[in-house]
Amino acid sequence: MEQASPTAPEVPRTPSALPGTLKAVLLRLLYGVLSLVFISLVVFLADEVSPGDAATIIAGDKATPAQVETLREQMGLNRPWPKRYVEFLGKTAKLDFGNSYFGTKRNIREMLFEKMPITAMLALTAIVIAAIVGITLGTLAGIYRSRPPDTAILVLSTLGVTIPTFVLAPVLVYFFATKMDMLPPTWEVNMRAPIWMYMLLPVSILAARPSALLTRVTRASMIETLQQEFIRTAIAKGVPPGRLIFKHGLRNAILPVFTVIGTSFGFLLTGSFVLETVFTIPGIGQEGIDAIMLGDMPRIQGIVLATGLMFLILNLLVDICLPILDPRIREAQV
Amino acid sequence: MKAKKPWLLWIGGTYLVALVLFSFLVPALRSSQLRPPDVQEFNAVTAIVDKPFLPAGGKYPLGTDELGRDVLARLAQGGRTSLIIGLTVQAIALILGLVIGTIGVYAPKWIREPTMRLTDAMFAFPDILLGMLLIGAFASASVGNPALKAIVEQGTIPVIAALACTAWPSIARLVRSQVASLKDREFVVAAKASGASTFYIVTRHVLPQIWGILLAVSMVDLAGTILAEATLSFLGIGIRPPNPSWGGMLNMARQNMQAHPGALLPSALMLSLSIFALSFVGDGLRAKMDPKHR
Repeated sequence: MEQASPTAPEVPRTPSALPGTLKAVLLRLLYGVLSLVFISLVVFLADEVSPGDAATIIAGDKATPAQVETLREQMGLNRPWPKRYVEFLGKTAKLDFGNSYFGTKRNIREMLFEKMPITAMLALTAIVIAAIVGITLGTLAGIYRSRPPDTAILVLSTLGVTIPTFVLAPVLVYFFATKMDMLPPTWEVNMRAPIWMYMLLPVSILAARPSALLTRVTRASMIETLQQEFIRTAIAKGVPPGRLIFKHGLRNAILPVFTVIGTSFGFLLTGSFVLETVFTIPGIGQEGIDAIMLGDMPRIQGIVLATGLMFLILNLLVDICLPILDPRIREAQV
Repeated sequence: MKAKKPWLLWIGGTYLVALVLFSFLVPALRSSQLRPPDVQEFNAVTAIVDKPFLPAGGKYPLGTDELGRDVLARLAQGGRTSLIIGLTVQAIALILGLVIGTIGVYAPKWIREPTMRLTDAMFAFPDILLGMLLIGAFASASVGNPALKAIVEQGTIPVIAALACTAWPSIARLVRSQVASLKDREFVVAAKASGASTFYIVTRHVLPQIWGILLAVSMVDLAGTILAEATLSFLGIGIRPPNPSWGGMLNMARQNMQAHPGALLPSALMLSLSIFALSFVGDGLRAKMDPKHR
């Protein structure tokens, strides 16, 4: 080893990876909070720039302009918008979105706590299934590159990516629920079967597209990894095939897959809205569609912010997990 | 789907030409075919022509729907709506993306930085949420506003607004990276040295280099836009009845699926085939245009 020259003293390397990781995690958290503030601003402005405000809607069609004006005064709507935005932000932090404009004028926070868990359960189960199926199939396809198993998996995943959820859902419901009568076609308040029977069909349909996407990403990443020189070295060294695939190949190939898991959550949201409609599952999607049909702004704002928060947390988790899985990212962050 | 399969591009391209002809010619054709002799104004797309759920064949090649309207005419009209919305959204996204992406490279720092941060921030927002928010804002604004109510109930304009807002950031990012990579190439530097204005350089030297890849990416995005429009219509918050859309037709067919499963076929097939064709053409074009993709 050469001696370090006096002009360029050796930079002391952190012995553990923790400080770097911690810094990165904190940065990510800050970024997440900033994104949330941005989302809340968009949500606030969407209501702000559209003509007609809360006072007009609450006062109803029959109210005189004077009555509307008084109501506006009472609600504090005639103050400048930045002031109201800060107030909105404070309320949002407490998940306080007020009450619905229409119907039973239900408290939105209460509604979110009731409906959110159902959608979250659907989406999270689907993403776990998609990750297992996608990584398994993708790895298989990567190993059997250009041979029959790979071709079969590739055709399947192309279909999975291109067939829309709302085409797949009715067709599968028709075969498994209507025709063969094996699974319940709709959600029921008093369930006559264990809950997994009700979840099986929606969750599998929901997982189809992300599975296909993850299969393709895993396959591409696996093929690239298996061409690397360290794999050739490992083969030459006589590493047994199982160890070669899992320890050397998959361990490296899996990293880009994790990023895609985070971003594919966006698909899952769209998909779960569709499936909640098809299976009449009382989740956030049905609630959202109902709110949009009525133009019930506080409910829409609450739903958008709550789902946006879920999306951000999931992506944050992925970003925090990545450096723990990949020493190279950890080093780069130090 | 690597570059080696030009036949997929050709099949996809032929399908798309057929789709355009089908969706723009068939509604008028069906109107003249199905018009009862004593009626002057007749629209085959919205008129009830016969009993509901007639099977395919004979006078109605694809049968009739749940109200007894001609499925063929509605399918074509739905395709027209999808194409018009998709192309408009892509055109808006392309223009916005070009302007904002170019600003991200050439504008002074105090404009450039906030613009690009805004573009990045848009990615923090799942598309469906922003779309729902915008459509919701339209719906909320239309309460007690009859002129706006008509627009919201028709559905085209809110859908275009919602989808255009979610489509531009990815184009802007692409334009920015492409323009940035061209900025220091010799021919651009030479143009600058000979006194060309930034506007001249961008329109005459930079854009001709990147329009190919932009076209290909727009094609792939068009598939996404049409899918998104169909999803919104399926959920009942996109194109609203009685105006036909593939998503809406599929939703109605689904509700009557138990008794008439065959009614699912036309809209489901059209939608899947169109998405397939658009992504084949998009991928094929991209492989041709983008040397990195080969």
